[in-house]
Amino acid sequence: MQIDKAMKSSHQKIEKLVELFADWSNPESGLASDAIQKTVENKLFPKEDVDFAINHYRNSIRVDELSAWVQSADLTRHISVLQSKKMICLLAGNLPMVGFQDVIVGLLSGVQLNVKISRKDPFLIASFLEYVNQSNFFDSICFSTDLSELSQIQADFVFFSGSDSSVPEVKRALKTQGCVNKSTKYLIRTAHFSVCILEENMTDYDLTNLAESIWRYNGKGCRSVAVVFTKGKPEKLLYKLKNLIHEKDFSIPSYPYNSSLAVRHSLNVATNRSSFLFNNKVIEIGTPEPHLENVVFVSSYNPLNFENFLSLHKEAIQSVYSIAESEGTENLKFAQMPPISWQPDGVDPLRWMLDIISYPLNPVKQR
Amino acid sequence: MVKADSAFFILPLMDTDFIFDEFISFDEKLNRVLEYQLQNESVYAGFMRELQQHTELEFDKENVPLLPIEAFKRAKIFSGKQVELEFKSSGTSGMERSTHYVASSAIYRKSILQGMSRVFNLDDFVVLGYTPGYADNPNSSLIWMINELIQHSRSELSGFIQLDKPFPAERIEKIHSTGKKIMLFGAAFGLIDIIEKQSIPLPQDSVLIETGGMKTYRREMNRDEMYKLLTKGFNLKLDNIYSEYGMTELLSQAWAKGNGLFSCPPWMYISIRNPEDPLSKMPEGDPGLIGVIDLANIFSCSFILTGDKGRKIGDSFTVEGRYHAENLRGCNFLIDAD
Repeated sequence: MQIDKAMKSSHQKIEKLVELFADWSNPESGLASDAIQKTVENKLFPKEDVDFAINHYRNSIRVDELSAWVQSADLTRHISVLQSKKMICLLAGNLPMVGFQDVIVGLLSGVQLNVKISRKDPFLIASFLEYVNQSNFFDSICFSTDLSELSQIQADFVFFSGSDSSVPEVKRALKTQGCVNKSTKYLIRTAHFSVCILEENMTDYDLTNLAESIWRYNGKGCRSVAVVFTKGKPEKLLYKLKNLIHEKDFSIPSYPYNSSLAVRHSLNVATNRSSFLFNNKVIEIGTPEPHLENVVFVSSYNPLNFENFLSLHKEAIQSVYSIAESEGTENLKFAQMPPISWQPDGVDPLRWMLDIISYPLNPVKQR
Repeated sequence: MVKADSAFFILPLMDTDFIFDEFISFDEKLNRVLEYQLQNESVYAGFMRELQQHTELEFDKENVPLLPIEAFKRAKIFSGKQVELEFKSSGTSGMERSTHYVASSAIYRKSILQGMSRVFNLDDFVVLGYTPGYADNPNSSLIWMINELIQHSRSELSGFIQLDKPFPAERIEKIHSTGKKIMLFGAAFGLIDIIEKQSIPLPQDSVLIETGGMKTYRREMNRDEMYKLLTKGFNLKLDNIYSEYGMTELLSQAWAKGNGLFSCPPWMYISIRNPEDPLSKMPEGDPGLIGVIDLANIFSCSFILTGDKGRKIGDSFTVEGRYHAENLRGCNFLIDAD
């Protein structure tokens, strides 16, 4: 009976969540329009990217998708335990609504949800959470752009994305504010970029997907492609890509110009390295250096080099895409449109939380 | 006004004495070197030609376009008649190494001696190098420099100290007894390694010159901690510890005395550049990429953007290791920014 009740409760939450997001994101409701307008007016993100992100969530936050996810993670096992747990999501703000999946995890699991909204994206998720709170269906969500507003929470779970250099500072700040205690479990993602492996023959559709995976969101997502391994000639791919963006209808916003890229491109030209500069990205042929922001490398594929690259950067690689979606790769066309249940750094956040409750001494992944 | 698209033609090797002439302003010297390199050095000229397709260029010392230092790994940057010296950066196998082709050892020698004479009275010193010897490292610009100073000292007591043998205490005694001072060069990590085994008290008037290299040290250490260890281990005052900022791609060096604030000779200029806009400088005190204008590099490229992080403090500058961009690709929650 308890399980039935929990199941029903999960289902109700899913239905309500889908309904709330559909309402909020429906342009006719006007519920999100103020947040979108402020985001665009403050030049935080271009309107096209905000619309793209909201539309993507609108298409993926569906009852069937969420139900399948909840069932596969076996959420009902510990639903009553979760209700007494506290979770903090720290949102990074590098793309519109980034980290929203963690917020969904918080809402579905029934934990007491606390969200540190990013100052770089302060309006969108905040607006939705305000709408959720108004509905009075979920427990009240505490959210703020100021970490001190979440002080003394003593969270059981903290979700965020960081890097080796930023994690200690974040943990220190959380501790100083009393947001965490000794038994807090952290789900920290450290992957920063994605890789694509391409066959020699590509259709225009594949090429458009590649361009989308590179330029969408100014290439700032961890799912954005930073390195391309091609089984064809890199020069040919560069030529085709250049052709696509210059001659065909490739719709992407214009991103702010950064003169370091003109310097990089000019260095390439002066040293006979094939390269082109378009919309705040340098696309060049050469040995990948994925730490260089806004530079995308095209390399010739050979199995050994490819494996070496994956092994050298395994902590930093989010996804490996291909057209055919072979084993260990995702389909390139979903690079910027992952399913709502996708697994950042290979970890299902919902299952991770449940596994911690089930096997507290042997969690799936934590730092 | 210098034009980046000036026609290519080979000028005869120019008289280079003006570079070191302190009666000619830096700006005037910069213009002459820039014009020469745009006409005679194809990589920098090509870089400038392409760059001006994308942006307006300015040519004063704070805005002149600087060639990213990795160009020395990718291409031969040279405008002399003949290569006299070929310096290579250190690196492990498989790693790309920079090559600096030098047309004139006389210019390098003059830059070293005239530059150091501004800081030290070289005639007072016996020079020791706690580094690999010249015979083992003919392609190291640092070892070449120390070797030149050893030759210049005209003392039989000057020379390289063998790294795999105990530190030669008797030689130190001997130098001291001649009334000469000791100038000891060494990579910071090498010097720290020996004093961690045993302290090596040097005569009080000795000078210790660390030549960097902490980036690859087995543990992280800041400059203050390093100076503290060196002063203690060699029993010297902080004023006797110097740091040198130089690299394979440069023929001039900047010097810091015990405080990590580096100063340049008058033919070298440091401009701290904005990593997101390397055509403009950072405000004083803010961190950025160290840009170097080294006019002694007249036959390669004098305008170099390094990958090092530094800040301008008055006429001096700091060196704070490699520059790492804070904004990595992907999500990266930063406590101050987010």
